[in-house]
Amino acid sequence: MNINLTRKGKRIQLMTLLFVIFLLISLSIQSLNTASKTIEQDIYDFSRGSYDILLRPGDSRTDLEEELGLVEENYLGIGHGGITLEQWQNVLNRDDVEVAAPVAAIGLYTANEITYSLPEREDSVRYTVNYTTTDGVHTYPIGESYTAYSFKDPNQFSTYSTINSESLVNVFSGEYPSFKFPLTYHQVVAIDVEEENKLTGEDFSSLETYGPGLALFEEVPILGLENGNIPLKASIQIDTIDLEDDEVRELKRKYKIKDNSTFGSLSYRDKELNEQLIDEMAEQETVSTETYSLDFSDVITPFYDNYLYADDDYRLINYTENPLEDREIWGVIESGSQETYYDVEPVNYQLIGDKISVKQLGTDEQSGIPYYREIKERNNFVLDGAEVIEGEGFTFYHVGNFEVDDHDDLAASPLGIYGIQPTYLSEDRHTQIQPTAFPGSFITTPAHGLISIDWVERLKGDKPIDAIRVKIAGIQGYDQVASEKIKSMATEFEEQGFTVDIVAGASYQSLKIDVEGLGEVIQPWTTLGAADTILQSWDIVKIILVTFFILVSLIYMVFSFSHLIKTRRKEESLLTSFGWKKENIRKLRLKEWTGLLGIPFILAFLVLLVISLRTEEYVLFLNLIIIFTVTCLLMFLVSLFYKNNQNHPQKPLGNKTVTWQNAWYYRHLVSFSIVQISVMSLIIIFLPLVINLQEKRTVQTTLGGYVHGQMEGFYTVLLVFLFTVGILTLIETLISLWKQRSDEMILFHHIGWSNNQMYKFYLKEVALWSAISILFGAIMSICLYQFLFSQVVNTIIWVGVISLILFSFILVVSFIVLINMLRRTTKYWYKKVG
Amino acid sequence: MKKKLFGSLVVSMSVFLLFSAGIYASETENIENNELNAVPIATFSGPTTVNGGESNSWTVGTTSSYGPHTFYFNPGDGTGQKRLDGIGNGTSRVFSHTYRGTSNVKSYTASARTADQLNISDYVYKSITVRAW
Repeated sequence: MNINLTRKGKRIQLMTLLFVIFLLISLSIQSLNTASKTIEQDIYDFSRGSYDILLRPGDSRTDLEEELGLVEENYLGIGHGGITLEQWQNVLNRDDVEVAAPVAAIGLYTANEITYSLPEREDSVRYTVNYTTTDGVHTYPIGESYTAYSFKDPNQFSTYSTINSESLVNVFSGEYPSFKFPLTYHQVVAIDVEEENKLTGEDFSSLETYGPGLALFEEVPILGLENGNIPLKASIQIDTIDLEDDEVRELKRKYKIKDNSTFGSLSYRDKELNEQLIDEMAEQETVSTETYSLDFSDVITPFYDNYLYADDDYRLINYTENPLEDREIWGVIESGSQETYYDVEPVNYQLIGDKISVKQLGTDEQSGIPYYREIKERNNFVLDGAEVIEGEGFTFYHVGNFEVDDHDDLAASPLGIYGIQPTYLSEDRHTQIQPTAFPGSFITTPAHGLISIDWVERLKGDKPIDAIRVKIAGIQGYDQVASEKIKSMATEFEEQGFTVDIVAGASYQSLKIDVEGLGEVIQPWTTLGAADTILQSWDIVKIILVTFFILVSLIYMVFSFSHLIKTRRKEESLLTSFGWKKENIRKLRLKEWTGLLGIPFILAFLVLLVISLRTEEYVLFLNLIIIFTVTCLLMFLVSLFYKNNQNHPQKPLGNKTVTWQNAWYYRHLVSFSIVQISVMSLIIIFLPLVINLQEKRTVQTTLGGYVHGQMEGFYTVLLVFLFTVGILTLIETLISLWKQRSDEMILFHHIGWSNNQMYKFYLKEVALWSAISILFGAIMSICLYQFLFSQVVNTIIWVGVISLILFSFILVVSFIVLINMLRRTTKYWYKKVG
Repeated sequence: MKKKLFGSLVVSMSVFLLFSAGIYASETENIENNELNAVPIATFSGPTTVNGGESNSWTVGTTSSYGPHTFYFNPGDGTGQKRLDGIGNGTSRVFSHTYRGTSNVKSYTASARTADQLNISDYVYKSITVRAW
């Protein structure tokens, strides 16, 4: 005789669920292993930048780049070449290349040396001019200090006589009090106008114009950076002195200045005598003093070479922007300023543990300005007077400026020469650090001057190019196909001898660097790309989903076993009363449960066998055995619990409403449901928040943090099953609860309660404990989101709406179950009465 | 008869006036075009032999009448080109310069140029000899 105490329908339901649970948990554990391993990020995880591949000469990576995977923001502004023009052309001419934009760092150059003029002064004055430069923290004197005198001399053919140092001869005059200012050196980079335009959208076509031919040498058009800094200030002191005509005549007699000659060129005739004269003039009594400060950084851009003057208020004015119309302007311009330039080496960063530091290599003897990298002064050509005696002379011709804006794509892409993110002190973010006028700063600025690639071989030799930024043709964004194409081309370029970087996923990072003489600074660096990089990657979505799926499944199993045991108690005691021995009852129980667990296990085993043979993932069997063992253990523990557990009388809740009292009284029956609803509410709020975060498939690439966001098919099944099990638990809980309270329902019906009153009465309880569960789940999901992603949930309304929808759904399901329960109970009563 | 004669006279005068105006306009345009295409010619005057360490003056001028003009003077000794942006219609400017003296006689090729509002002139050169000390 085949006896089963568990109903057939219940057995089939339970076995089916167990089969699905065994299968899905085994597969989930396997996917959890995969999610937690270090993985390779792939190109298609990223949004496409302005170009795809960076080519550099072989062995280009610095030690720091190898170690940390980072380069300085303007890392292409310094370089010694290695790629020929022919190699670049070969890349450019490929059909599968849309853009091949070369970069060639030329060196640190100064603009054509120019003078600036102060307003004419008719009184007798002494000018004292000093210059300073700054790195943002320290200020250093720089360049030559000048002293000059201007006074009326009616015996001269020129209105004024001047006394000045040798370097101001032919520069300073009474009509145009002019001075030279110290040379400042700036990074110059060569680009191809057309390719750079394709890459950046900026117009550099003025680099291909011809100069006016005003210089003695060939003119090289150059664009200056609009917001490039000239770190230079002039301090001007103007003393009015009391100098009578007789005194002038006496000075002329003493220093043998002929009537038709001038003091100003005395230094050319007798330098010592001139110095003596200047010393004597220093003793002239000062009648009044004025001081002015002229800040060149406010007015001119790198490679500015037009007139420069101060207005009547001694404010420095850029002549290009404000030409004078009411008076003449005079100036001197030196075309041979590009005779000398500086070649600088990369900074030697020291990495000790996770600390990066940079040391001073020395200080300039005259100014005391520290330098942090090797500097080599080089000559393009050699001048003797105005004549070029070695090499070919050339001069820069300033054709305008280019702009890099903070929010411009130009600045955002890792293009290597346009980065304008500031460096600042770690302890004071308002103190920006900048290079001084003297070369050798640890900061590599963006390109302050751009010239055309047409000049590069002449200035740098036959392998002048430092990098080529390549954009692949024929792809719109990064998908699987594009990814394969990029990787294939990258391999090809590598075989040609280039250092190749796929720039997908490049991003800025701020690094703390300990700089000798300054302290700790924050400097912008950049990753070149995260594709093909091994990173720690945690798929948070998968982990959360799998963990809670396992939890929900286990809870369901415990709930089902508890329910089974409780319902069997009555039947087993009935069998005992029929004369069955305990041993036979135990055997029957064992037989049923072996079937309940064994059949799903065997079926799951067979399915996993097929999967394992196809995927060679034999660890699935181990997962199945583990979950089966855990299930058996759970069953044993539950049966032990109910064996030892006695029904203790419950204390009432005190002065609470009936709803509260009932909810409290039946809490043991609904506890499983409370947990399931909390989990469902956590998942249903958490998942959309995470998926929204990943909506555009942009991925954080800072080291250590990478987040997936995909919802693959398998996890959709998990999600559906999780909710199914949760709802099943709820339904079975409610059925079990209201079955137990069927007498109560009959009584209410008997005393005349309407259906609506009973719905209200029972649903209030459901509403109470389900609302608490949902609230708990919502708070947990918000905390989890904040903890895992450091994101503040700024859509509380959205969370509230989802919670409300879930709550409504639970009430609807409960209502349906209640209707059926009431109908059955009251109908049965009618039948009973009838 | 008188009316016909008078009428003919008027017509003839009108035709003549129109014709003259046309020729005048055409000639004016030619003149303007010629002037537009005209490149200024720089003039350069001053001493050709000087003493070292003494200031001397040279005058740079222009034949152009499309001012204001810019004047350039390069002494040729490597000390830089002097430039002056004039105002008004001044057609010449004086530049002062002091050459260094040495124990030998030295010669330099000084140059001058001008630019008007439309064009820039060719260089004009002058050899300057600096006497020895």
